[in-house]
Amino acid sequence: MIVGQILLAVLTACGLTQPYVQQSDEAIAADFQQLQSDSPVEIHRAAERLLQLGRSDESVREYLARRLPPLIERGPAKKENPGPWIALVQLAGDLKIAESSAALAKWLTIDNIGDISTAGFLKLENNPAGTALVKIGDPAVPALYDVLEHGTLRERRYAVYALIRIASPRARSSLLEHQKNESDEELKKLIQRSLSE
Amino acid sequence: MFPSSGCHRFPMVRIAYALWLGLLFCSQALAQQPKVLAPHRTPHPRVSPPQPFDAVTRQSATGGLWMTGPHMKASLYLKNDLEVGELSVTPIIYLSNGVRYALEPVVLDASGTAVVDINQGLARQGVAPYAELYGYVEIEYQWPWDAVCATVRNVDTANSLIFIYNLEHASAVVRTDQAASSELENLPSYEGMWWKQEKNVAGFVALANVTDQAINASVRITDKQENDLAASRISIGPHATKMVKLPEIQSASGTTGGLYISHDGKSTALAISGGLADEAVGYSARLPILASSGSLHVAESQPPVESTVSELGLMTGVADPMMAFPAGTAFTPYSVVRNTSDQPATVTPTLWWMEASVPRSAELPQLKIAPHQTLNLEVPSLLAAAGLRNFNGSVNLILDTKGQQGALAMASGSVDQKNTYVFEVVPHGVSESAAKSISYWSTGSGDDTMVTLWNPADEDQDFVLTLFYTGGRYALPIRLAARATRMFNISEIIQSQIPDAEGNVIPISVHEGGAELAGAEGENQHILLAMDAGTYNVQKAICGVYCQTCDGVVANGFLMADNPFAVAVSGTKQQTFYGQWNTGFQDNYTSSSTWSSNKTSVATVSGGLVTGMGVGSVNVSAQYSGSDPIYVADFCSSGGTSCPVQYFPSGSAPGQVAVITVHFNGNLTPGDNLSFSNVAQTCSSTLGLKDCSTKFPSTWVWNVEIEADVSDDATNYTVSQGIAGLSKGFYRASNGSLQSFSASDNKPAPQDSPPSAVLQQVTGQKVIFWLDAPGRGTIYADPNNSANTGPIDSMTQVKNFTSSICSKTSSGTCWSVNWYTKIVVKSGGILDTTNSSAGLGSLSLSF
Repeated sequence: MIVGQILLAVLTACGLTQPYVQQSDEAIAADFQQLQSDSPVEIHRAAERLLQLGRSDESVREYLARRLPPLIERGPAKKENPGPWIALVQLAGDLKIAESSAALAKWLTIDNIGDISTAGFLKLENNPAGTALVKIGDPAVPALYDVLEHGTLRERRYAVYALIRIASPRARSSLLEHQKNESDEELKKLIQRSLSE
Repeated sequence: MFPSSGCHRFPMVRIAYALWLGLLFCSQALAQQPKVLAPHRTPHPRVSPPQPFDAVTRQSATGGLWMTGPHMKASLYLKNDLEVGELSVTPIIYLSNGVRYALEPVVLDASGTAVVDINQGLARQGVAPYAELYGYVEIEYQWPWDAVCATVRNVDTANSLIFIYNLEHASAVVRTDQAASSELENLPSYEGMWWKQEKNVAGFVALANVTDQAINASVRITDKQENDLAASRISIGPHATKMVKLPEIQSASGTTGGLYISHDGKSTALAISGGLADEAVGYSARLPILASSGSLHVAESQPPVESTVSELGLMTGVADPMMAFPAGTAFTPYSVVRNTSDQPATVTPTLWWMEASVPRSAELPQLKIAPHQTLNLEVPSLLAAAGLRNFNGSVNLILDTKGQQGALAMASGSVDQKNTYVFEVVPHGVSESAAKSISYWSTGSGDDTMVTLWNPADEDQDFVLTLFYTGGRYALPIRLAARATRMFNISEIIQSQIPDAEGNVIPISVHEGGAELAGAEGENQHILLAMDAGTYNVQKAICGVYCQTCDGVVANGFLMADNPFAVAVSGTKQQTFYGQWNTGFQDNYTSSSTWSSNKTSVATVSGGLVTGMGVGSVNVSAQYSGSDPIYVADFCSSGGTSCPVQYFPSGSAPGQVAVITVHFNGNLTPGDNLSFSNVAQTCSSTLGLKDCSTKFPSTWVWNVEIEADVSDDATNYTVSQGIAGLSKGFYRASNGSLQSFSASDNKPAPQDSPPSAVLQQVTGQKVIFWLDAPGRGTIYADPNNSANTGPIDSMTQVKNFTSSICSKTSSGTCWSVNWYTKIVVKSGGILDTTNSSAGLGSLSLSF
């Protein structure tokens, strides 16, 4: 009985009896700081930790929602070595940080990563920002619609791919709305075909 | 001894009998008989691995009159004729008023047997097990073909009565029905016979309506001169059974006569069972009834059919002391034949017996049987004529018959002098067959099962008797000399405790099971063998014959393996023509069949190998020029029928020829309206290797077009594709160093199937196009570690693809093509156009 009470007290002190763990702002800030380091290895580790924390602690996700979009918006520091930037993009996607949608939509043309096949390419498998936007899902639709309205053909094509995969009513409405204005006939046909499926 | 004094109608019979002694041929004349050869055909190879079975469907068998009472016990005997799997069988008991009781399902092991106590089954339904009731049985189970042999045994141990009736499968009934519908114009009718072993024998016939509709039936019993003794009309409700007593048999002055039954239902609606009995002395026998050939439209000119029927192991004289009958028990054999047709028939009896281990025979004069005449062959007279008047032992009575197909009803057996011990023998046709099975044997509670084998060939034959029992099987090799007979009890085999070739010994505790008699080369070896088996119990004074099974190909069991099939233009497909056997195995006729194609411009075929010649539809057929046995679950007809065979079995399968072509270079095919503009990873609208590394999106790819030409509408197909790939090389890390990488890319179909954006599949066209541009982005990124990224410096990438189309209208009809791309990047990120390649087939991923 006494042992049980002691054990409960220890667990309570450690916070292990609570369903979610609230991280200290300092710890989150330290990890976030590391996200901005020059070391790809440190960035990767910090991103992994923040992902883990963000999945169980809403406050971490909120912290990142405020601070991550500007980092993503900057784009890769080195175009040839986009690894650190990809880590931030994946973090935004995995934690579904809708606030980063606009930043992500800016970089839909980074599309030359990894093995390529047509099926995979249209599923945005080679496009880190596009993949993250699809993971965010319906909250990312306004940002993608903005790309449809103002983007280059190449950007619009990826926005269409992303909206097709999101496939929410709002995404389909966006495609329907845009197809009237789409100037590229092939892309227009693609939108029409996707809407008819 | 001979037909009674009332027999003035057929005086020739008496003359024939009088001539027997003078015309008798003994065994010395054997050399003058035509030589009967044993089958020598090499068994077909088995299909290996076996083809999948067809989908299971509901199988059922009906019939099997059951009777319960204070002394009457009814049991349902089930045998699984399948050697490759168990079956769950649900017995259903119908009372005479049509009330239905489904009993608990019974699980039959492979080749296993089970006995269901009907009295107890009824008791569990709240029906008194001692009540005098009757009805019929149905069994239900799920399997692609009928695979259960079912028999109902009714035993009154107090009065030493036994009646055994078989269930008939729906598939067999359907076959009969089809024959009947094409040949019968009148109402379904049946004809049977009665004979009086002694003066107090009476009879009964039970009519079970196995349908949901009431039917009306008429029963008429006649004397030897075909005068009506009695006639009645009865109505039988759905699933009801009516028992018609035949006391007129007892009061009749003659000793033989006929029985006529007709009804207004479908020809399969009635399950008819009959019996002869004298409770006072414990005499009982089955009353043979056949579907009437008299009502068949047999043209006058239709030639009579010759066949040979065996009645094996007829006991005569003093009983074998080994069988432990009461002292002084002596047996007299009997054999009765009725010609149910409107045409005359003849029967030529030959007796075969063993004398000092040597087969001996005596051929006796031919007997004529007029239409609708019942003839008692007076076997004691035959024995006397053969010089066997004082013979103690067993003889085989072989009847060479000539008459209308299936028109002779037969009954035979042996009876002791008190008419208590009745050893019925089922007359079986003698013909080439595959293995035969005995559905049930028993050595428990005073039972023993006697098996009689006779080799009808003039040369020795080797067989294997396999006894199946719970927990095992035992194989006993048996060599039968030419024309030799061998009789043995199953208990002798068990008690011998001699291990078989595989070291198996039947545990002494085993008392029941099933058995199969096959050629030494396997169950599908053709053999020429007559077999009979009966289970007797001396204490209870009963003997019963359970149904036998002819192993063989099941109904609709001559099959093509790929049906329908698909073959590519210039491609080949090996077809297999096979027979599905009841045991679960499959005979492969492919190499011994003649193959043909109905459209050689589309596909040719030789030895089952189909070669696609052009896009289109085709039908490929195979015909085996020989014969193979047909499976009969309940081979217990009273008509002396043989195990059937199918001559020249054939099969056919529709097929489609299509072709998938992969275009690796040049322009898109005319008619392909797709565009690489929607394939954003490439920088070119033409086919081939493309260096897009200096353009957006910075890739190396190979633009490919896949074209499928099909025989019908393009929208009737699904398209799928899969990849197995590997990329290995070096990338330049952020610190400037070269790091090795190895990345596999495995996406089994349909994960790499073409999206609609690059798929052209239009109604009204017979061509499908899709585009692909496999390759690699110039940036390497480790999917598991974002720290490991960088521009690829050098690389070898191999991707093996399988592109397929499958018909939506013809399940399982698919075509596939394998192709590959190999992209080599030299140090410095320079595309190596010399060593990069693409083509049909696949490349090794071990590099």
